[in-house]
Amino acid sequence: MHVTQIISEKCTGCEDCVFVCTLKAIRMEGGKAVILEHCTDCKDCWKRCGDGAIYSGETSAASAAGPQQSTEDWRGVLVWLEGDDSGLQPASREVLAAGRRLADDLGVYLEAYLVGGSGAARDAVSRGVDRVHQRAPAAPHTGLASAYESPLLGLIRQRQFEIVLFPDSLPSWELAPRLAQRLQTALYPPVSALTVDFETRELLGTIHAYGGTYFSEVTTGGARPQIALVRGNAFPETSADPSREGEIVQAA
Amino acid sequence: MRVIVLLKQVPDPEQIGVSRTKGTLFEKGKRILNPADEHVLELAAELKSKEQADFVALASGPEPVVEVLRRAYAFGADQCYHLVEELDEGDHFAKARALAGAIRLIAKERGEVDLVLAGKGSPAWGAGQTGARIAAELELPQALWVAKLRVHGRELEATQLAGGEEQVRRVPMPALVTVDPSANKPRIPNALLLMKAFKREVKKLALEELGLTPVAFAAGTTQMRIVRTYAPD
Repeated sequence: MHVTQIISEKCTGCEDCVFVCTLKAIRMEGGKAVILEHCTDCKDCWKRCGDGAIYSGETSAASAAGPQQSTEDWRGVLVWLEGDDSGLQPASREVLAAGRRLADDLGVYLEAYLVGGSGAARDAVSRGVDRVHQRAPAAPHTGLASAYESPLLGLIRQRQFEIVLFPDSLPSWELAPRLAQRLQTALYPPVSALTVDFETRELLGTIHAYGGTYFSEVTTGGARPQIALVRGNAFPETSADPSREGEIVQAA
Repeated sequence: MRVIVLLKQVPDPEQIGVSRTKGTLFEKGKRILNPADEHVLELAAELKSKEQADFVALASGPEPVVEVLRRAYAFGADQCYHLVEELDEGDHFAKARALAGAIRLIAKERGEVDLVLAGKGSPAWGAGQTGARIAAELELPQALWVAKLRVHGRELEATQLAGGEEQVRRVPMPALVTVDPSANKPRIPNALLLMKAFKREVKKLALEELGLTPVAFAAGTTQMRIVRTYAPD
């Protein structure tokens, strides 16, 4: 018996899930998706759904119970990006590059929470983001934490990304520790190298200790999501390919 | 107004080494007050004289942590609290949850807290994530890396310093602020003040008093584990 379910009020009938399901376990009925009996809960569809209309009944019960859930439930990489109509900020391009490589290594989608205009969203897609959750910047002088904390927290909880990356900047320092605390997980201090263990999907980061006198390799074991800040000038940017395809959705 | 200063005891950066065989850091000397926290103490001392603030200091960790609280007394603290715990130093989640619990307890004992002050980071990882974690635990607004702080009634005017640029923000109190080292030049307490500080009482708090359930510290999942440490070539 599968636990994957469709929230029909949220389903827009885009048929993305039907397309992504390799078992043909989703059918359209009256413009809404319906999960069929032979669904194996592989979660491909709810990682794909941009409307938050698919969820696992089992997983939401587990999240309510606290942090004791399986790392298996967490898939995908999310990066925090900033930009304007001329494109992404340099630090954001580097974080995107770091995220793209990890997503390729893990065989998952790279998604982005982008604060900025449509030019930046197109830049993000051309540089390798599969799905951009775009939103306009909050009014200046509002606290970053108050403006972006709960929408970002909602997105991470709903999609259950296994890795979330931020650039090493003031907005990240304002947001990432708060998210890590609410998600009961660790936050990697700025890393200059990132690798994943293919079996455990654990993130191994290299951090600079005592102002760079020493380097330490750190990991957080079973914690999900694995949230890390990315050092500047450590990850070469991916090149922009305007023909690359990706999805841009409006985020809260 | 009431100000709580969070202090951290850290390994002396001049007194550490790395074991080549084990790939671990070791400490050769006594631990010191986190250098960034001297600026926090200075700011609290200034708020005490300008705003007649009640100046409270809090530090957590094993017994030797008491020494950094003596320094707070030398800066004019009204009361110091030591939360005795031996949590893993890489477990920022548990540390923040425990410190937030201690702040709630102190507020019950002494009255509402208007401002929580912390340092920008520490020499080890330069991280400085505990402040914002505590703000999340206590549902407080925050301003990090603050170089200038003014009090206007129930509101703070905080000048943040990021990438060499200043941005000014207004934050309602109660709030949490981390102090940029450029904020001030810490005073050097004289010998008499240091001696007097030695006689003051540091109140002890225990983890069990905080009313946190053991699940608050989901062992094994929230801490950062160091796999190995090495000196770059």
